[in-house]
Amino acid sequence: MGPGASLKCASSGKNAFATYGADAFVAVNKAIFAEVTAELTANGQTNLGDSFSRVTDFATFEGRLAAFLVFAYGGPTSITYTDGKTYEGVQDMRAAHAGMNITSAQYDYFVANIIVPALTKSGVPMGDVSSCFAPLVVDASVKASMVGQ
Amino acid sequence: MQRRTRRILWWTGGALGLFVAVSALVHIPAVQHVMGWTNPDGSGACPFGHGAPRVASDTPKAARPGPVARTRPALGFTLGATTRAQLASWATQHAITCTPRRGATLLECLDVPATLLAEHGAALGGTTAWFELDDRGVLTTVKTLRRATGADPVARAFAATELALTTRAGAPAIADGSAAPEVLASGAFRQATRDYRFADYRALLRATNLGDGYVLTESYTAL
Ligand code: HEM
Repeated sequence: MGPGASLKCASSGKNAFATYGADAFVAVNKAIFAEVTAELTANGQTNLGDSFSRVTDFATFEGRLAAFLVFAYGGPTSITYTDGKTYEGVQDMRAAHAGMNITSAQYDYFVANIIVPALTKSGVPMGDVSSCFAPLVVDASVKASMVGQ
Repeated sequence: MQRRTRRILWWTGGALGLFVAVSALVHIPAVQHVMGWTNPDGSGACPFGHGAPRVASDTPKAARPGPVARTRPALGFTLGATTRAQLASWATQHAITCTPRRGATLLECLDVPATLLAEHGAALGGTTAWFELDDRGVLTTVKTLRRATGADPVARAFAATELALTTRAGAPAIADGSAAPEVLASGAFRQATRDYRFADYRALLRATNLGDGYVLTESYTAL
């Protein structure tokens, strides 16, 4: 089971994947990429560009992030994404962010300006954002697995 | 030489020749101006992106459609004018640690004292500031993240900054959510956003409940 599988949404009493299903996760994932693109283009890339300039294959990145989110929030261990390819959801975040030297402030900025808008713009009600999505992202050990690697 | 080999050589040579001719053509100033391939200073630009410097506009001019900002507030820094050398001496003068990232086009400054970034009326500590520079070493973007344990100081800082930006630049294009302390405190990821979009300037202000504290994030960009 993914680390967020036990988080219950206020609206349903079930976890996020059981409440929203695969399509909603695809929508949130696409919204995350739209926010990243906006940050990298329209709004300066100051706080992200350092890491994202190394990405050579955005399509695979997108599929892997979707699979990770689905698994983390209570879904299956792998998914077939919109590109028809299968991606593994069980991933090591420490390894994925190794060498990036992401700072605590960068992480917080990323959550506030990419993750939160992506969730709310995808139509997830605020009560569920707070109850069954947010706790995993702000969990100290989850943050520690990506910061300073 | 076989006929097949000769034919391949002929086509390859022809294609190369055509490429050279087109490349030369698109670099002729008259062609560039007709096609609109110009640098911000009006000089011709390579349409393939080579040699086109990334440069911030130093005078508010309509780079995009729509109204320009009255002024371009950026916490006391001047977008399109403040230089790398000025930022370095500012950091040294106040004993701030700034780390260059992504080559030297980006400076990350940790623990900036609240008073140094209080120009918009937000006096919050726990600040990280990022400065993005263009190819000439001129400031294009300032971003900050400020943290507090309670909602009140972030709500106050948000309100002061919103007022300063609206007065100095103009009204926000998008105003989402309330930054009243009780609203922010009502759940993790509660957020208020003010997005100022002008032809020559963008400012994005957010107050966010991160579950383990509250953050004010600001982004000021010269367009
Ligand atoms: C909630 C926080 C975050 C989550 C859930 C997350 C999740 C992920 C996942 C699942 C991957 C794909 C791993 C792979 O392809 O092997 C990934 C890669 C990546 N992450 Fe994050 N991440 C987070 C925060 C950040 C932050 C704050 C940054 C930078 C500022 C960042 C930068 C990157 C980059 C650049 C890659 C791509 C690596 C590559 O393709 O070479 N991530 N992240």
